[in-house]
Amino acid sequence: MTTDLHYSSSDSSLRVDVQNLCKTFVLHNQGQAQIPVLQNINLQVFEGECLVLSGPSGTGKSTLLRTLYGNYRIGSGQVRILGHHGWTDLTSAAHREINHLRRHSLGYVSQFLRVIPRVSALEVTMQPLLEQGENKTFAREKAIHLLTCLNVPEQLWSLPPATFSGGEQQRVNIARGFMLDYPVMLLDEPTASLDSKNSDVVVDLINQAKARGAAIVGIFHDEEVRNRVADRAFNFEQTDLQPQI
Amino acid sequence: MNPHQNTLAVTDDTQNALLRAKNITRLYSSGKGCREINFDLCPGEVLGIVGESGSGKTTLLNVLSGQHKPDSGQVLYTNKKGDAMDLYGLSESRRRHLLRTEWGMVHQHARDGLRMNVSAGANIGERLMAVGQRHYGDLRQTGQQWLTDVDMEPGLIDSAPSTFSGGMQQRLQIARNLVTGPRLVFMDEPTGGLDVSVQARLLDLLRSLVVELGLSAIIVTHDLAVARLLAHQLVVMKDGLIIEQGLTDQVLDDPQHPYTQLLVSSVLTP
Ligand SMILES: Nc1ncnc2c1ncn2[C@@H]1O[C@H](COP(=O)(O)OP(=O)(O)OP(=O)(O)O)[C@@H](O)[C@H]1O
Ligand SMILES: Nc1ncnc2c1ncn2[C@@H]1O[C@H](COP(=O)(O)OP(=O)(O)OP(=O)(O)O)[C@@H](O)[C@H]1O
Ligand SMILES: [Mg+2]
Ligand SMILES: [Mg+2]
Repeated sequence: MTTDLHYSSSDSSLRVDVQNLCKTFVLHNQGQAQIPVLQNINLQVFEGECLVLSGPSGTGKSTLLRTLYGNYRIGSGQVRILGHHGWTDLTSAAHREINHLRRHSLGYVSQFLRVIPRVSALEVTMQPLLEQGENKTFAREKAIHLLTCLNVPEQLWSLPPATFSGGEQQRVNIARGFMLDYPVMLLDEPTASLDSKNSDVVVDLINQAKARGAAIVGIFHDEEVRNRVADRAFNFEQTDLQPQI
Repeated sequence: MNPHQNTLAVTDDTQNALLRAKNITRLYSSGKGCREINFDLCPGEVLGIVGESGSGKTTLLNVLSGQHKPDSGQVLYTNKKGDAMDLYGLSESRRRHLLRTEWGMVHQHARDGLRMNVSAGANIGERLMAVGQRHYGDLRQTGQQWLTDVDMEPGLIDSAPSTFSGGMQQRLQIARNLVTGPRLVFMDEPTGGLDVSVQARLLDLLRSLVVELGLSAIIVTHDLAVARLLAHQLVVMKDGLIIEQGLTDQVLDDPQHPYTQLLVSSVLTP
C-alpha cells in the first residue's frame, strides 16, 4: 500500500472529496436520542485506487458509504463526487441530481440485493445498462457474461431472485453492480456471503475496475480479500486519513 | 471527464418541469386541507405522496389535477406542444380537456372516477373518443385488451361498473385512464382495495409504463414499498403541510421528522 498522505485537492485524478463530514442520527421517538456516528471525516479517493474502510462493528463504515451514495443525508461538512458530467456536491444536490449521478457514474453494491418483485435475475442485472438507454442485446450479452463469471446457474437467470439463496442473490447483486464502468464505486461487504471461488471473481472484478480508472471505496471483513484489493485504508477509530503500510 | 469543471447542477433544470406546484393552499371551512405546497415534477418522474389519514393528500391531488381551484398559489403545466400554462388561468373547458387527454386521474373512490351506469366499454371508449378515435371496432378491441391488461374478463365490456366489486371498479378506472397513453397520471391509492395478486400485476404494469414509456405520475399511497418501488421523489404530509420531501430512499432510510420516523419504523420492511 502507498503512504502518500498529502494531496492537493486540485489533483486532477481526485474523484471523491470528503471534508469535515459529520453525521448524527436523532431518534425523535426514542427520547430524542442522539447517535453521533461520523465526526469530522476527511478523506479523498483518487482514480484507479481502492480505499478500504476498516474498524470495529458499529463505528460508522456503512453510514459513511451510504452518505457517499446520497442514501443518508449529510449532517455537516461537504461531500463531492466527480462523475461523467462533472462534480456533484451531495451537500446541496437535489434528488434529481443524485439520481442522475447514480445512474451514470456512481455504483453501489450493498451486502444484500434489494429484489424488485417479479423481475428476473437477468433483467435485474441488465437494468443499469437499460436505464442508460443501452441496446437490449448488448445489455443481455454483458449480463450473461457477468452472471456466468459469477457462477450463477443458467437455470436461475429467468427467475426472480426472491427465492434464491443468500449467496446467489449476492452474486446477482454484484453482477448488476459491475454492469456499468462507473467512475466511482461503493462496495459494502460484497463478498460477505460468498465462497472463496466466487470471492476470487469479485477480487478480479474490483482489480479490473481499478485498472480502467475507477475510484473505489469498500468495506471488506475478509482480511485476505481486503489485502488483495486495498491501496489504502481509512480506520474508523481515527478521525483522519490513516495510511497503512 | 474533466475534473476542473465546476460543480454544476446536472439535470436539475426545473425550467423543464412538467408540473410545478407553487405555494398551493386550499383549506375547507374547518381549517383542514393542504397548505403551502411546493414541488417540481419533471418528465418521466414519479412523485410519491405519503402521510396520515386526513393530512390533505386527496385535497392536494384534486388541486393539482385541475379539479379544485386553490385558495392561493399556482399549478404550472407544460403541455405536449411545450407551451407553459397556469392551470387555473385556463378556462374550465380547457382544463377538463387536459384531464381527458394528456392526463389521467385514478380516484381513491372508484365512483368518483367512473360513470357507474354505462358499460365498462363505454367508460373506456369515452376517453379514446376524447382524443379523436371514432371507429367502433377499434374502440371495442382496445377496450377488451385493456380489460385483459388489468386482469379482467374481456367479456365484462358490456356490463355496467355498478355491478362490479370494488376491486374490479378500481381496475376499470385504471384501464380507462391509461388507455389514451396519458403523459401524466394522478393516482390516489391505486392499489387500495385490491387483493395482493392483482396489486402485483398492477404495479408491474405501472412500473413498465414508467420505465419503458417515460410516463410521469403523482401517486398517493400508504404503502411505503410501493413508494420505494415507483417514486423518484417522495413527499410526506402531515396536518396539511409537507413535513419532509426529497430522494425517496433518503426519506425512507434517513427520515428526519418525528412523524416520518414513526411511519418508517412502524413497517417491517419498507
Ligand atoms: N438509519 C439509521 N438510523 C439510526 N441510526 C443508524 C442508522 N444507520 C446507522 N445507524 C447507527 O449508526 C451506527 C453505525 O452503524 P454502521 O452501520 O455505519 O456501522 P458499521 O461500521 O458499518 O458496522 P458493521 O461493521 O457492523 O457493519 C450504529 O450505531 C447504527 O445503529
Ligand atoms: N369537502 C370537504 N369539506 C370539508 N372538509 C373536507 C372536505 N374534504 C376533505 N375535508 C377534510 O380535509 C382534511 C383532508 O382531507 P383529505 O381527503 O385531503 O385527506 P387525505 O390525506 O386524502 O386522507 P386519507 O388518507 O384518509 O384519504 C380531512 O380532515 C377531511 O375531513
Ligand atoms: Mg456495515
Ligand atoms: Mg385521501
